[in-house]
Amino acid sequence: MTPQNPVQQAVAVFRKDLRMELRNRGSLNAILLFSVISLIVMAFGVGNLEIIAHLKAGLLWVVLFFAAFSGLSHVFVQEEETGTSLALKMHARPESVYAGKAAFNLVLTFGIAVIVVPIFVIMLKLPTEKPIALAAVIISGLFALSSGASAVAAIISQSRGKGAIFGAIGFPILLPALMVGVRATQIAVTSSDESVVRTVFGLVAFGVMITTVAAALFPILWDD
Amino acid sequence: MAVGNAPNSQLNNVNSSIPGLWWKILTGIGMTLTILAVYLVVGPVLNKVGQPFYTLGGHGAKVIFFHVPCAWLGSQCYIIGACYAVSYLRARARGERFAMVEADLKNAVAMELGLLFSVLATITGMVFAKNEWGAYWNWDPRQTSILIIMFLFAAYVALRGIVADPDLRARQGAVYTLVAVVPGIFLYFILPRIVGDTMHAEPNKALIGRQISGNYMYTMYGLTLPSFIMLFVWMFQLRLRQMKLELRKSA
Amino acid sequence: MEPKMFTLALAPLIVWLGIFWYLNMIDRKLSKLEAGKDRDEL
Repeated sequence: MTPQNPVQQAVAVFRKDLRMELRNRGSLNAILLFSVISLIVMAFGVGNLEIIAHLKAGLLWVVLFFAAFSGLSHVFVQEEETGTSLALKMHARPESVYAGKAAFNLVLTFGIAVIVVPIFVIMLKLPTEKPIALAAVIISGLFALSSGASAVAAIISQSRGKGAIFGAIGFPILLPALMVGVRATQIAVTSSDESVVRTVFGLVAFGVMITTVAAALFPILWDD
Repeated sequence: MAVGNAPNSQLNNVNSSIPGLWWKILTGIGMTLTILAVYLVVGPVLNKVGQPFYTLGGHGAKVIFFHVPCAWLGSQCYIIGACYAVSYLRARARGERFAMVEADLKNAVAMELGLLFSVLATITGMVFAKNEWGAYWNWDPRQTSILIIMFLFAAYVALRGIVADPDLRARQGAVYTLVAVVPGIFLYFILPRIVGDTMHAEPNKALIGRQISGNYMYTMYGLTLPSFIMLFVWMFQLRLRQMKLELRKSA
Repeated sequence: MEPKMFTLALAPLIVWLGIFWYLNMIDRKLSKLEAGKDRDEL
C-alpha cells in the first residue's frame, strides 16, 4: 500500500494534494482571483501614467509576492484543519511530506504566475525586449519565493492564529530574495547591459538552501 | 546579591555565574569612561594620510560610538541564537529535558536582545547618517540589511508570543532561527554584491586594515566595545533569570 | 570648547546612569525572587 521509497512517498503526497485541490476547485479559484485582483488594483493605481520600467519591475514582484502568499495557506495548514495530518504522519516520512508539499506549492505558484504575468505585461506595458533574461529571472525568483513560502508555512503550520503571523514571518525571510529579484528584473526590462546570470544563480541558490534547511528540520516540527 | 544556590532546581544555576558585583562596577566605569572619552577626547577621524574618514562635525555624529557596538551586538545575537538553536536540537536528539529548556530560553533571550540592539543600531545609524551623509535614510545596503535583520528578530518574538505550548514553542523557535539563517547569509554575502556599493564599506575596511590613526580606534575598540559586551552579558543573564522564574511560576 | 562638550556629555551620562540603576534594580529583585522561591521549596 504505502510506498517505501522516500521519492515515491513525496510524489504520492504531491499527487494527493493536487487531486484534493482539483476536486475542491473553489479554493483554487479563490487563490487565482485574489492574485488577479491584487494585480488589477495595482493597474488601477498606475492607470495611464507613463511610469519608468524600474518601477514596473518592483510592482511585478509585489504582485508575485502576494500570489505566492495567497496560495501558501493551502499547503500545510489544510492538513491540520481537516485533521488528516495524523494519517500522513503514520504513513510517510516527514522529509517526503515536506518535499511533496513544497513541490505542490511550487506548481501552484507557477500556475498563478502563468496567468498573472501576461496580464501584467499587457496592462502595465512591461518591456519585453529581453524575453529570455526576463523569463529566467521570473522563474528563478518564483522558485526562491515559493521555497521560502513553503518553509514559512511549515514552521507555522502547527500553531493557531496563522493568518497574522504569516505575513510577519514571511516578509523578512522572503525580502532578501525579493530585492534581488527586483534588481534583476530591472536589468531585464531596461537597456542595461549587465548580465542577469549571477542574480539568477543567487536566486536559485536561495531556493535550494532554504528548501534543504527546511526539509532537514521538518521532522522536528512534524513529530508530536 | 549573593544568593544561596538552589539545591532542588536544576533550572536555577546562574546565580554563581559571571555578572557579580565586580562585573557591574567594571561595566559602569567602562561605559562612563566611554561617554567622557567620546565627548572630551575624540575629534575628527583621520586616516594615515591625514584625510578625514568621518568629520564627526555635528555633535550628533558622535553617536557612531554607540551605533557600531549596537550593530555589532545585534548581528552577533543572531549567531548566538543560531548556536543555541543547534544545541536545542542536539539536546532534543539526546532527550535531555533540562538542557532543552535551557537552550530554548537562551535562544529566545539572544533573539530578544538582538531585536533591542538592532532597533538601537537602526536609530543611532539614522542619526549618524543625517549628520554625516545628509539624510536619515539613504537606502544604503547596510541600512536595508539591518532593517531586515530587525524584522527577522521581531518575527521570532511574534512567533514565540502566539504559541502557548512550551514544547511546540521551543521547536518552532529553533527551526525558525535556523531557517532564517539562509536569508541572513543572503543579506551578508550576496545582496551587497548585487545591489551595489555601500557607504559603510570603505571606513570599515580601513578599521580592519588598521589604517585609521588617532583616538577613534582606541576609544572604539579599547573602551566602547568591551563595555558594551559586558553590558550585553549582564543583560543576557538578567533576562535569562527572569524567564526561568516565569517558567517556574507557571510550572 | 571643552566646557561645552562636558555639558553635552552630561545627557548620555544621565541616560546611562538611568539604565544602570534600572538593570541593578531588576538584578536585586530577581535575586530576592529566586531566594524567596527557594525557601518555599525547602
